[in-house]
Amino acid sequence: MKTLDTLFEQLNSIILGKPLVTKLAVVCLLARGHLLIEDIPGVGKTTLSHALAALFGLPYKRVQFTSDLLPTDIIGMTIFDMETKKFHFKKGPLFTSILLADEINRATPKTQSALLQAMEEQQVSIEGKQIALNNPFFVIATQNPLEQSGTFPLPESQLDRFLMRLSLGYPSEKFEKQLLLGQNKKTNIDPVFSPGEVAQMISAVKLVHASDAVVDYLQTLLARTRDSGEFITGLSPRAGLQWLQAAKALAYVEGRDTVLPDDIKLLASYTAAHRLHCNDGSNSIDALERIVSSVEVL
Amino acid sequence: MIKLSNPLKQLLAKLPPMPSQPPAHDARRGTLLQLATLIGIAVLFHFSIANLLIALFALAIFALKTLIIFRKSSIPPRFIMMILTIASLGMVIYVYGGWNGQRAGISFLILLVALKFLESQTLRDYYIVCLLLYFLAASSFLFNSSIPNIIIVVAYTLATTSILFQISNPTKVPLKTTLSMSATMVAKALPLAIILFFFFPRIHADFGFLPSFDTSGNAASLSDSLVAGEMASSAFNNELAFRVAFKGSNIPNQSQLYWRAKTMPLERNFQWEVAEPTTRDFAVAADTKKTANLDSGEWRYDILHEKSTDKYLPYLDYISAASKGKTLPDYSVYLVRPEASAFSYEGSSSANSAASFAKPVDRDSLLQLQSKPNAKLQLLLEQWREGAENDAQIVQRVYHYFENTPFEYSLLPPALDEFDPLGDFMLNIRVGYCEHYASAFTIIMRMLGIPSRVVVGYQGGTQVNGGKFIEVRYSDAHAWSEVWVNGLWQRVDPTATISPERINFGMDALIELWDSGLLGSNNTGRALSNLLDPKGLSKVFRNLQDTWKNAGYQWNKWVVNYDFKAQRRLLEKLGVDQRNSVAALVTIMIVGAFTLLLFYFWRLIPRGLKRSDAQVQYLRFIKKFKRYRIEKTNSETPKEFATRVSSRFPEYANQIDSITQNYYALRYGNLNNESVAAFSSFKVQVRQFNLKRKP
Repeated sequence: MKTLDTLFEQLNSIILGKPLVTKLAVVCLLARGHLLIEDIPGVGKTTLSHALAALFGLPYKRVQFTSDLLPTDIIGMTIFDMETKKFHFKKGPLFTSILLADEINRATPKTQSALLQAMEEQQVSIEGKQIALNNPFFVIATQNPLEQSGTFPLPESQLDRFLMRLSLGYPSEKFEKQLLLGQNKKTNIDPVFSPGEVAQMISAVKLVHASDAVVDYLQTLLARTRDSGEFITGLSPRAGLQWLQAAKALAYVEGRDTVLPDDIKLLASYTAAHRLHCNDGSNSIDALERIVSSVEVL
Repeated sequence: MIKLSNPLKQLLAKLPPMPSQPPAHDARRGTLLQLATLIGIAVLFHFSIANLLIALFALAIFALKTLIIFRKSSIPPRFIMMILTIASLGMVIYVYGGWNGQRAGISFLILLVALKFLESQTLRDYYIVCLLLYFLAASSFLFNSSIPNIIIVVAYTLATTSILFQISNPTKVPLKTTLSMSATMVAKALPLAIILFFFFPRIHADFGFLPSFDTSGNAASLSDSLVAGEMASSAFNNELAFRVAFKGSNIPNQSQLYWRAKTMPLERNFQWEVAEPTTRDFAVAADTKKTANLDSGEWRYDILHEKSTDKYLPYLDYISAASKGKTLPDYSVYLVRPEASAFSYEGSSSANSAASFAKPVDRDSLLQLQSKPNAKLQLLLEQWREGAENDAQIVQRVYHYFENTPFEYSLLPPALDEFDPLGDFMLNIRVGYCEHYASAFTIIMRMLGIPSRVVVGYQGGTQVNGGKFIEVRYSDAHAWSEVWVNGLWQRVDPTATISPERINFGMDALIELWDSGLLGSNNTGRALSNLLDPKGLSKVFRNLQDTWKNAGYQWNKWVVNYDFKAQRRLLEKLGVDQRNSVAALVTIMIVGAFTLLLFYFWRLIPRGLKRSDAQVQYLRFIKKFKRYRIEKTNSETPKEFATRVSSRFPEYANQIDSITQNYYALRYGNLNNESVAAFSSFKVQVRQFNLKRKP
């Protein structure tokens, strides 16, 4: 079995100079969480999601969200077959392992909801029938935070379904030059893992040990987001569960069998910030940072 | 607002729960058998204290209940219980003639325990049995307050508490756990018990409802009469009579240790008896008391007397002042009412007799005799009298006769002729114990017209700490003679001529010689030197013995004899005025109780997280950087801290990293079985980490 190192090597040769973001993206997938990449256009959001999907060797599909996209465009629809004289269900792009939802905030809330229900329940209901989605099923969504006109920002409840929110940012000078010189790898992305190996890794993440002490630390952080008075609402238990799950995946990616407080601390702004909204409208990342620095780690 | 009330809420949440319904489970058979064992032990102990009949009855009830537990049968019907209860009551009244007295009380208690145990069915019943057992354990102090006994009582309390734990727990708890839990509880209660012991107001007066001291007990005493052969039989009675501690550097030597208890002026055919003090004696005693001064004597000492029914207190000859009892004209000290338990007093004595007692001697009564000399003895008497210039010379002559005639000293003297014991002893058998010699010598003195009497008490004792501290046993009992010569009472101890070892080295040495068959042989000297100056192991053993004896003395002095007066002395030392002592004690108790209560609530106030062992060690590690002004910030993880300090101390980076890794493994890892070993090696690693030493 090829190691995660190979994966990161490949990934980092595509997305230059962003080792943390690429690592967290992998962590997010291994933790079976959905990923939201939020950034201005042209920094490599789509490239990252493509690379991830391709390297994991899972079937993937891409949907470009627009305001006229309908739920059936994603889920699929029942059509009448003239030859067999029967209705049958034609699966939409949702029925894949990795779904790239580009510019998710451009779609109408109706379409967003359809996708987000699928994300949460890992299944869709069509005409009263439950149809299970692929296992594993990931959504990598991207959105552009600045473009306001004609967009439908995701409501909090739906943001809560994303395990992580990442942003890439501008590359540093050195890497931008490499990029401009065309030294990054663009073609021939071969999958590093087989679907079976991915399933193995996902189940291995579950075996990572989280001690009472580390859970206590996480719990203190969760409690602080609720009673600090900085946020409209504190973090939900689901947020806590996902945070811990992400920490386990991070420990796994780093080759450890136990979760450390370092994992929890590192993940705070990626797994928690997008679910929190400050009372005064200021940046929730800063407020979260204040809370993390007020909690003792020992 | 919410934040303020938060600690209060937590405080309330931590308060002990309100009394709830008693647990509904049944007591387990194993636990009940343990309880039965404890009760069995108590009943067996009872045989040594109280009446045989009652102990047997309790044992029978106990056996019945044990059988019921084993066979899981039901308890006897109510009317049988009733009959047993009435029978127990009747038995106590029959045996003791009523309720009064410690023995009656404790017998009643043991019967109560046995009956309650028999009747017990529910948990509540067994709780009561356990409570009664605590009482029973405490009541043993009425009979014995030695160090071994208190150890037994503490062990018993531990066992009872452990059973209470097991009974109240619906699931089976390992014995080890309950024992350690009860040990923790008892250990926590101990400081409180010690404080209460010293400061709880002591009762000064007698209370009518307290069990009175009953004289039917087996408290030892010296006999009020001296019968030839009787004292010899106590030579092997190793029971402690009293302990003495000398004050100051003035310590008498072994041959000066004559402890006078009683004088016996009345002779009845080779037997001697005490004369009860008269009102005139008491009047003299009252006069002497006025002038007595405890600082007047040559030797000052404290005596801790074991429980005794004796009315005469032993004091060193010759007494010049006594803190307890009435000093009678014959130098004996009389106690009108014997003490109920062990007691202490002070004395002051000098080697020479005090002249203050020289009231006119009643020559007639001091010359009275029932014994008559036989013809052979008459001859001897005339020899002694012939040509003597004064009484002192006659005394000298008789003393020399004892010295030069082959008399033998024996711990097992043969019986004497019934009709002429004096003649038989002096002329035929010539083997005797101290009482034979004292008796014979005194009778001969009286026959020669010299007023004399027999004195009974103790001689010597076991010296500890170079004689500063002495233990006197009943085996040290001794009798000697006193003659009235030149207007003074003078001690003559004829035993000293027969067995100088007895007087110079004490009874211990004598018994040792007796046991090894060396008494009177040529090897006496070597055996004695071995005994007095032991080598090797026996020296170690002797030292251990001395330590143990000293501990026993301190225990009796500070614990057993801690009474109203001792408490008042302690308070005085702490600066409390005598007159206010009871008020002060009550104040101390109330303040103490409130402090405890406050402490209890203070403990409930929530405070910082409790650190685990690994955290404590890790904090110790962090502290080592403090001198370089490096401190871990609150939210810094150990790994972040390690990175920071490693950049400052690169040469220690490996050590720092290793410590951090090990700490993470201990605190956040999944070690399970290996955690103890890992922790101890982590502890060593932290201790050895030193920023001043080159890695």
